[in-house]
Amino acid sequence: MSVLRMTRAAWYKHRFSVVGVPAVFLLAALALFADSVVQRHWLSVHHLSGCLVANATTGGSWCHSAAWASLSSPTQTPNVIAVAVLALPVLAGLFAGVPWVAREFESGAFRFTWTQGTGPRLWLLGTFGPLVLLAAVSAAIYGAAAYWWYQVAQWQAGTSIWSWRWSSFELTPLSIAAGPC
Amino acid sequence: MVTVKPDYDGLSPIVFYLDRGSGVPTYLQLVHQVDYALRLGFLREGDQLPRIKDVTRTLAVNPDTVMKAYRELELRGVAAGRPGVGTFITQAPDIAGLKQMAGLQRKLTGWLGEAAAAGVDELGMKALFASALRNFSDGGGAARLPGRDGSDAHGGGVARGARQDGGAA
Amino acid sequence: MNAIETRGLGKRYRRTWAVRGCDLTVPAGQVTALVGPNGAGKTTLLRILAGLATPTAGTATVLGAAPGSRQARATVSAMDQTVPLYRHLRVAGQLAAARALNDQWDADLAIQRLSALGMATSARVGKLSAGQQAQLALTMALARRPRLLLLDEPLASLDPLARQDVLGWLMTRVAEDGLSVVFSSHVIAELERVASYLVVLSAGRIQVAATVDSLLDTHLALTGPADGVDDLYDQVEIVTAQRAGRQALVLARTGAAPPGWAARPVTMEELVLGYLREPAARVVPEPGLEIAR
Repeated sequence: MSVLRMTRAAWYKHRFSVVGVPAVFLLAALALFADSVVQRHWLSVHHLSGCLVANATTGGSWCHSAAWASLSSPTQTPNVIAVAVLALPVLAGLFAGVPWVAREFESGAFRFTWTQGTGPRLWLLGTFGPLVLLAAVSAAIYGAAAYWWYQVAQWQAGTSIWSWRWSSFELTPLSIAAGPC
Repeated sequence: MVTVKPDYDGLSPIVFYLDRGSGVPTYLQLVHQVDYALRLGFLREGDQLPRIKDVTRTLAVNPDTVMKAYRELELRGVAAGRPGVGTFITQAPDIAGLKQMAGLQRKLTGWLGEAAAAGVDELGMKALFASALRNFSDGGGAARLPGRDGSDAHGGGVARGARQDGGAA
Repeated sequence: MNAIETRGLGKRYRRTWAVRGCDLTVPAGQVTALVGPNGAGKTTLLRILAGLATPTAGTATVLGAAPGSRQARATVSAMDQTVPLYRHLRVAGQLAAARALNDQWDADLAIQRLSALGMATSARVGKLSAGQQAQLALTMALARRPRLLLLDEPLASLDPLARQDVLGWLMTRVAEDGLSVVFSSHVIAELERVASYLVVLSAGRIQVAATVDSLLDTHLALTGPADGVDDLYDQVEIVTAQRAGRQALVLARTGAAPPGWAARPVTMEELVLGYLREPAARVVPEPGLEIAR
């Protein structure tokens, strides 16, 4: 019961972050998804769908050359998007994660919270629990979308981007946590 | 900001105040004010004293202190508490006592006139009186001054003249 | 049940002890004034009792429960010196948060008090003046309907009229609910009216812990000749003596003036200042009152 109450209190305090951050992630995920759909269509049009299952490091270089050979690609600046995809979690951590933690400690507000009916342990669970959950869920959705996008984008992006099929999953929550630190 | 107005809902004819710099304990100040009001006729037999919760709110004073003052008045036979209702005056000062007080005050005024004529200022008069009072009580005098808690071997009544402690009236 | 009980309570930060060897027994229903110089350890002591700091040594209980425990948090309200509030919220939001965080919440009390103070619930907490924030924190502490209130310098930001009003309101709650209050304060003059128990803290140690009545009954302010002070030490328990030329003023723990000295009842202010001047003097709550040097 008290965990729910703490959650309500936390929700009330951080309501903008709680709505805004997942929203941003979801929008980004949607954008990547849409872009990816367009790219896959382009691939199938050029009979390059087989490239999807390969990956940039081991796959045939013919995917690479085919991609580069075709005049235009649907996405104009894959490198920029790649950087943005990487940066978004870090930015989210900075702009949303920092307020989440900072508000409780730097203002000393925890000295209020800890003396109320619900104590420190429930406060941690109730405040950070749902926020972490939200961050994880957003990260998962975002990571999946990024991975899906990367399957095509890897052929267009510069070779300097290392294999980050998995990294989006782990990176996103790590970045959110790293932001406040 | 909130303005604090003494508001006893018209229950009591008197209002208490506190003189913080006087050095007289709070509860004694309240006792003396009741005393004084009785002598001047502001309080009469059957009147209700201000409710404890009203006094604590307006004077910002510990309720125990007010209770102590009212208990002291009960001990002196001046007031009595009615549970759930309040504290009421049970005994008005007797006229003889008042007359005696008036006479003493006249004599005192005469002394003050003499002192002023001799060039003694107010502070000097107070010092003279304090010194005389000390000598009087140290020397065992005609009557003993009561202790700090106001208890008096003779008890009861209000008009006890020079035997009032603190002298805040 | 005692409002506060501590045995050998101590808290160390790195190398210095903020409070040390504190033995305290404050009965319930008292209004306790916690007095001492800056850095004496008042805030540390109050934070330990509130459950915001853990002691390094000794034990403490508040209303019979461990500080910070669920039982303690249900019956004890604390207001820290820093006036902790959610400064980014509006007053209404802050109240809603407090309501969400507590089982017992007297919303009527909070609303009535705030409207009596003229505080708009749409105001942002961070934009309120220091005095208004203190009033808000105090209101919320009382809306929890505690049996013990721990206040760290609650009146510091308030103007004289507000101080009077807050003290009056607190005293009413004491009268009507039997509330126990512990508050630290620098303004000693107010204490005699309000406090029934006095704790003097000096350099982390308890110097005085007794009821105000017993203290005022057992001490006298003596005036007499300056050269008589040395002899006086043999006759009465002297707490502190001030000599100036021919006259001396002595705070003594005694019932009657010795010959050659004039006595008058001591005020709270004189008593507190006297003990603060003599850190070695103690009034400890053991059977009877003893001054140890």
